[in-house]
Amino acid sequence: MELINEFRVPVPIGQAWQVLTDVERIAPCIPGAQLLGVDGDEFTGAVKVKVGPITVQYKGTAAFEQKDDTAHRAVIRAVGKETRGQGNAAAVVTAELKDEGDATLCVLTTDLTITGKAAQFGRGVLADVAGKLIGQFAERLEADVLSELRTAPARDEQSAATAAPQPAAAQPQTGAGDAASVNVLALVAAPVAKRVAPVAAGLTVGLAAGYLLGRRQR
Amino acid sequence: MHEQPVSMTVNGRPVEAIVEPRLTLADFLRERCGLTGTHLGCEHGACGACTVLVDGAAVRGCLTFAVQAEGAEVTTVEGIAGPDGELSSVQQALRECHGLQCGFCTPGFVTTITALLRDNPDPTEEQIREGLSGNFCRCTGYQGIINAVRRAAELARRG
Amino acid sequence: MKPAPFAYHRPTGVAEAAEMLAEFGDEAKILAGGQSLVPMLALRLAFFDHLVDIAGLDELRGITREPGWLRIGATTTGAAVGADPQVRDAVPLLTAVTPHVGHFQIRNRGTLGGSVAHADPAGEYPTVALALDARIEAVSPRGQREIDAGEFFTGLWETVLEPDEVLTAVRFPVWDGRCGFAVREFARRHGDFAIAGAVLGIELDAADRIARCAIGLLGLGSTPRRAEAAERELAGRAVTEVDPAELGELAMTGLDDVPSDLQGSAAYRRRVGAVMVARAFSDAVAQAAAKEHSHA
Repeated sequence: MELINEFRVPVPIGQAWQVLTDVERIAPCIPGAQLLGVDGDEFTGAVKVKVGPITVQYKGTAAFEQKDDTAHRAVIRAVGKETRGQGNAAAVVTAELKDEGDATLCVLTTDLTITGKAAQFGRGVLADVAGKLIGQFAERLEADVLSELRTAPARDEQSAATAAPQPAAAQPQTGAGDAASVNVLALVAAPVAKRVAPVAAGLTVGLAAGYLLGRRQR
Repeated sequence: MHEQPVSMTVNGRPVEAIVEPRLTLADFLRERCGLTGTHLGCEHGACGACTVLVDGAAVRGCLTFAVQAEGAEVTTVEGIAGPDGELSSVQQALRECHGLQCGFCTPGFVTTITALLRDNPDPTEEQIREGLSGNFCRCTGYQGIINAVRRAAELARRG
Repeated sequence: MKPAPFAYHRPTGVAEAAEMLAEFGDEAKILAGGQSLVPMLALRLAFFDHLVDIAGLDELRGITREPGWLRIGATTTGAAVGADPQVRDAVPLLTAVTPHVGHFQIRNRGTLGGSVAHADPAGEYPTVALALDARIEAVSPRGQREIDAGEFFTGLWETVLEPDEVLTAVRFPVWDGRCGFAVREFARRHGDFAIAGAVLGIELDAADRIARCAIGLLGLGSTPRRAEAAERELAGRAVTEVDPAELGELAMTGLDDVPSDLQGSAAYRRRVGAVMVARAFSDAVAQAAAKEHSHA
C-alpha cells in the first residue's frame, strides 16, 4: 500500500536537506527509537511503537538506494522484523524536498508491504497511526532544528536590541515566527525515521487492525 | 516464572496448586484438576465453550486467570449432575431435545443455561435467545438447544 | 493462545496500585475484569511484565447518587450496572446499552471503569460517557484529578490517563425532565463489536421542542465520537420538524476516520450509522414525548 505524508520545515532547502539526511541527528527525534549502528549508507535500528495496550518492537535496517543532493531527493529501502514474531515489513520510501524560499516542503511517499498477523489491516488505521507517529517525529525535529537555528540569530537580536528596540516583526532569517505554520504530518528524507515511522506504524497498526478484524465477536 | 500458590473449591472439592499467574482458569481446570469437560474453542472469549461458574456467575474460563479465582467456588460441567450421577434438569433437557451433536459446545451451554435458569426460571423466548447469544454451536443450528432451555425450565418447575 | 509470562500483583488499595504502576512504568497494566485485556494478552498482541489486579478493591466498588450525578465505581461490573435500579432511574442510557456489551458472561466480569479506560471505539460505556459529558476520576501517586469525557479519548485505545494513573470512578450527569434515551447498534451477532451504532439522549420541553440532544457514535472512528453538527442542528427545533433520516445523514458528517476493514467499508459503516442514528432518535423521542412535563 502507498502512504503519502508531508510537512514543512521553516528553513531553506539546503539546510533542510542537510539536517534531514543526518541520521544521527534525527534519530533521537523518532519516538521510541534507537539507532544501533551506521555502516556507510546503511543504518540499523530498533523502535518500540505503542497503540494503546498493544506494543510492537521492530528491529531492522534501512539503506539509501538513491541520494541526490542536487535534486534533494532520496530513496530509502527498509526492512523490519517484529522481535516477537508478529511479522515483517518492507518499505521503499521516496523523499522529496521542495524549495519554498525560506521554508521547505518535505514530501514522503512510502510503498509499504506487510506480512504476518499485520497483513489483515485496514488502510485507514494504518494511515492514521503512521501519520500520528510521523507527526510526533516532525514535531520533535522541528523543535530540535528550530532551537538550534535560533541560537545564532538570537545573539544578533540581542545585540541589536541593546542598540535600538527591534520590532517583533524583525524575525531572524530562519523564520522562527513561522513555527506555527509547520504542518506536522510527516517527515521526509530522514532514513531512519522514514523506515521506522511508516514501517513501525504500519506493523503496529496492522496488528491493531488485524485484531480488530478478527475480534468481531467477544 | 513468578509461580505462586492458589487455592479454590472446584465442584465442591478444595484444590491447591502452584501456578504461573498467566495460567487461565480454563487451563487450570483442564490440566491441573483433570477436568477436561471445560473446552477451549477460541481462547479469546467469543465462543463460550469454556464457560464455567465462578461463585455462581457464568464467566469465560479462558479470560480468567486461575490466580484471580483465589478462594472462589468454581463449578464446571462435571459438577452439574447430582452426586450419584443423576442428570440435572438442564442436562436431561439437552438430551431429550437433541440439544447436542458433537458435544464440543455443550459444556459451555450446560453451565450457561444452568446460570440463566437459576436467575430467571421462566424466561421468554427472547430472553432465552439473548441469554444463549454468547455461545456458539456449529452442529445443531440451535433450535434443539433453545427447546432444551424451555424443557429444562419445565422440568425444574415440576421439581 | 496463551499470554506471555507476567508477574501478578494484588495491591490492597488504590494508592498502592498507583504506586505499583509508577514503579513498573510501561511494563505494568491494570487488570480489573480482564475481558478486554486478556484477549489481547492471549493473542500476544499486548505484553506486560506486571499485572496489577484491582478487581477486589472495595474502594472502587459501588454506585452512589449525588445531586445531579451518578457516580459509578471503576470495578462495577457490566452485570451490576445493568441490574441496578439507581442506574435505571438516574442514567437510563447506561441500562439501555448494557445488554449490548458483549454477552452476559462477559458482563459478569467486565467492568465499567475498565471499559472506559480501554477506550474501544465501539465500546458502549465509553460512548455513553462521551455523549453525556461524564467525568472520569483518576488517582496517581501525584494526586487525584477529574477529566471531562470530551477530553479523555485521544486515539485508538488511547486516553489521557498517565501510565501511573488508575481510573477510579466515572460520574454521569443525571438528566431531568421529559427525557428519552435509546441505543441502536448493528453487529453481525448480538453482542459483537458494533459495526456502527448510536446512543442518544433527548430532552423535550413542554411544547415538544428539543431542549437538548446528545448523540454518541460507536464504531465510526478511532475513538467514540459525538455527532456535534447534528446536535447543534437539533437544539430548539420542534421535534415534529425533524426528519430522522436527514438527521442520520447529518450525524455522519465530520467523521474523518471511519474504519474500513473486513467487517465493512467506511461507506457501509456510514450508511449503517446514519440509519442507527435515525432509529435511535425516533425511539428516544417516542420515550420522551410520552412523559408529562415536570417542573424542575
